[in-house]
Amino acid sequence: MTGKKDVWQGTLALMVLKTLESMGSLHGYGIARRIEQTSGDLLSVNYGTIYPALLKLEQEGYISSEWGTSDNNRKAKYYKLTRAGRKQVEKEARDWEQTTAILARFLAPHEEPS
Amino acid sequence: MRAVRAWLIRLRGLFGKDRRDAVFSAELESHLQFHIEDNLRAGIAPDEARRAALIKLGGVQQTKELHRERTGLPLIETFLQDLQFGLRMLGKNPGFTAAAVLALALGIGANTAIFSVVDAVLLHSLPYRDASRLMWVTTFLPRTGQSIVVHPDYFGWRQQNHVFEDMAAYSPDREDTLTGAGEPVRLSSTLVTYSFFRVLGVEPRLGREFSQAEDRPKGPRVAILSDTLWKQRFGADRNVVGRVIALNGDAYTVVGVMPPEFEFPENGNAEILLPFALPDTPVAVDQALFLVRIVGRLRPKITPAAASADLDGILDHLHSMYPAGYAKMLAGAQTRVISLHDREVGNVRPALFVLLGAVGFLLLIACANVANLQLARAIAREKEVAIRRALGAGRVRIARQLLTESTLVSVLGGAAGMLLAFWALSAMRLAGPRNIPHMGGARLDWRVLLFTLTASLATGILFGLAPALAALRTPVNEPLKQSGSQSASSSGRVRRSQKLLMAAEVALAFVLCIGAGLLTRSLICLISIPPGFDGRGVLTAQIDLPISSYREPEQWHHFYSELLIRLGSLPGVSVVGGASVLPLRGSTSSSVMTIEGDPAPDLGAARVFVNTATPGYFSALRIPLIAGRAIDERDGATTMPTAVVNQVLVRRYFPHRDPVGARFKLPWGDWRTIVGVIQDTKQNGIAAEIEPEIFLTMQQSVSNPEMTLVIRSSVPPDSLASAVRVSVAALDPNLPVYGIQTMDDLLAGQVASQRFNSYLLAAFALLALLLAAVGIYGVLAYTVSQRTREIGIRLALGAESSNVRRMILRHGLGIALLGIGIGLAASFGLTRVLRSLLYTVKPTDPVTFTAVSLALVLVTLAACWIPARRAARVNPMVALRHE
Repeated sequence: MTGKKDVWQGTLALMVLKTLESMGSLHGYGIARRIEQTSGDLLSVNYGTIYPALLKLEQEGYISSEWGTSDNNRKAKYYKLTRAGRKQVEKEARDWEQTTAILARFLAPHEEPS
Repeated sequence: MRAVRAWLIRLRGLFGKDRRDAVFSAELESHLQFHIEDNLRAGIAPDEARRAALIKLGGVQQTKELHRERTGLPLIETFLQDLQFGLRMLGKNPGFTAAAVLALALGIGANTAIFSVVDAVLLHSLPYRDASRLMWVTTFLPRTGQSIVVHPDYFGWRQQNHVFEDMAAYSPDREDTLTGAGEPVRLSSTLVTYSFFRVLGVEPRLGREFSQAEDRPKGPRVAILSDTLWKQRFGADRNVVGRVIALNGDAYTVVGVMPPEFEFPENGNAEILLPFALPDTPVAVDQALFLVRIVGRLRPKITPAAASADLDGILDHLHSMYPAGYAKMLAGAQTRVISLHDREVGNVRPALFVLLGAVGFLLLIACANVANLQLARAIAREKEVAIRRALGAGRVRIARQLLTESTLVSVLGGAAGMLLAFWALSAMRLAGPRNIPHMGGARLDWRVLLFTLTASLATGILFGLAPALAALRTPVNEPLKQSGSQSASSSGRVRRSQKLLMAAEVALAFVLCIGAGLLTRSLICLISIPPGFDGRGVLTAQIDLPISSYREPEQWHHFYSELLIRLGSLPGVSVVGGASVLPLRGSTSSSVMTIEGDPAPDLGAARVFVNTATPGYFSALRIPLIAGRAIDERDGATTMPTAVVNQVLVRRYFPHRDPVGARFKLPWGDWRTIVGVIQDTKQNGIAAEIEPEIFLTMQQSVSNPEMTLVIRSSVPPDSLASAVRVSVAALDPNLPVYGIQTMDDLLAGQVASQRFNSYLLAAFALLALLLAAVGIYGVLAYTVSQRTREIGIRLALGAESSNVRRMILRHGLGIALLGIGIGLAASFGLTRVLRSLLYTVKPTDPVTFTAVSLALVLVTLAACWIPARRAARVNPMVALRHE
């Protein structure tokens, strides 16, 4: 569990950013739900952990928030990417791809290097 | 960048917490509503829907906590909490707080004051461009032990060296009379070569530097004013450049004004600069040699040693070209190149370091004191700590809380110490000796503030460490099981630390007292040296007749005899006299003496000081006549040349015969007959060796028309100053009277710096003793009150009250002896650094060591006495009912 959690916290920011990139403006519950669904319910973590991550991203200026009203007339705080956030998504996605590519080579033991 | 932004927002997050919490609660609530709706839609029962949503969230409170940690800065928040709690704890114990803050204020205040002096004097570089490359250059003559440079050396060096960018010569000890700008006044002036400004990297604020054409013999008479003189005498007139002023009756044109921050090397008070105008000609036999001082700017990356080697090579060559007499005089000369800064402050450095060490010790004692107080409190707070531990506070968290508290105390102490230092500094500037250069620049600037802050924080950590460590080791269960304040689970260990701390205080105080004792004894030795004269009730004043209006020696004699008659008739004045040079002022003119019947002496061999005195001089200073008669009115310009000599001269040159009636010759004038011997007086300083000296009458001398008057009176000598000025002005209104000073002040000035060091160190030692005594008293008093029950039981079981008293006193004596033992060992090692400050007293002076040991035993016992008596008076019944 702890191992999974560490990865969760490290990558959560990117997942949030990516989610907001594809969905536009969304509230905390929606983001958490969306991440869970996108992961194919493989990730099962408390929704509460999304809020410190959102706060951190907002403090860093990658996302902004404002109160709005949902389709069913419920008040909620909506988050969306800022211009800096959009750049950050690209950068982090690139970094992540690189990391996973490198890791993949280690994790595929039977593959001979060509 | 992003991290900084986030940090700043979080810093802002420390405030307005409640509103932010409310907003987040609303956000969470809406989150839950979304989730519940989803759950209901998925067909989950209503009450189950909310529960599932809460579980999936991970708890409302937990989420809020996570969120809150990210909103603000937990580290700072805990710190603020600790601070608040610390302040509350200090407020609850005003006695402890006051004692701790006061002890630290004394320690930190003393450190701040001394550091600001050290900073101004030793650490600040000289106020010149690239000052580290400025070197003071001289030659050391092994034959006479003098360090002098003659002007041909300067020219040779300046032209031939490969190591200096440029060199300049100067002569700082000159005085000139300024007339025509207010009252006539005597100015402290300095001669400089034209290269001087370029070497130091300073420029006049108005006008220009001296040109090379002005810096030659018989060149135009020009002057540069100091900022002070310009403001005081010329009303800061910007048109002063080009104006003609009268110096010694001659007309000089002002060509410049120096900036206010300019300080002359070796003569910070120089009021006027004049061109040196040295003759740059080959040295001839009959040519006078001028003594100069030299400052040079090293080329980059040249070391003083390399410079010295280069100059040495040139020197040998130069001296081989000088006439034989001069070459012989300068034989074996060695070049010395030292940094100008060292030259300026080198002789005050040891004393300042000793003082800095002393205040360091003082601060350590203060620390030990407060640490002891904290330890005593730690025992009392053991229960509080244990309860907080039991409620879940971590060890580190509690140690941090205790450290925050002690740092709070030390910062409060530091703030109070700044205040003390401010007062101490103004007192020191007033009372300090004039010979500490740049001392006037000592102030509480940001460097000093930084020092104080560092010292305070370090202090707080230093004395907070012991209790914090003790808290780390505190077990949770034991103290909670103990009843009342009798908890003693760790008091054995704490008591051992307390004992060691007290012994350390005694040891530190011991070392300080030894230092102060040695300096004081040395001072007593110095002031009990007989100077050879009786200066009580004597006023001195100096006069220099300008050659421009007093050309002939007859005019000088006439002026002085008139003046002496006028002064002698002032009410209260008993005797008046005068001499070229007073005792203790050093001699300016020394000469070579050939005794009749003896072979002609070497140059630099039978040297004597030649002084001029009026008949009243010896009786005014009560210098007794040992043999023959004194010189008087009979010894005029046309009568037989005579002289009076001192005892050292007799011992050195007439060891086996009667000097009275013997004849000798000076390089000028006829054979002179010695008519009398007078008692030795100290010439070069109270601690210096007495040199052979002869006294001539003014009429028979060729000295300058300069004289220092000595006026003995039955009224306080200070009160005569204005009468002396009036008497001089009646004879010549353009003549300044300067150097008005009582003979007592002149004598006191001799030991001013020793007195300053010794008083300061004594003050620190007394403070140290006081702090140590109060510290020991505090701990013992506390221990006795803690042990009331135990003592009560002892008394109830039949112990005599005198036994109890002895028990406490023995405890105190043990501490004193342990401390003195450590102190003795440390002192033997440390007093060596005092050696250069001591006169005749050895650093291991047994009298001082014995006296200080006894004093410390007595002080410790005195500190134990009240607690011991209180212990002996414990009423067993009351003690047992205690709790």
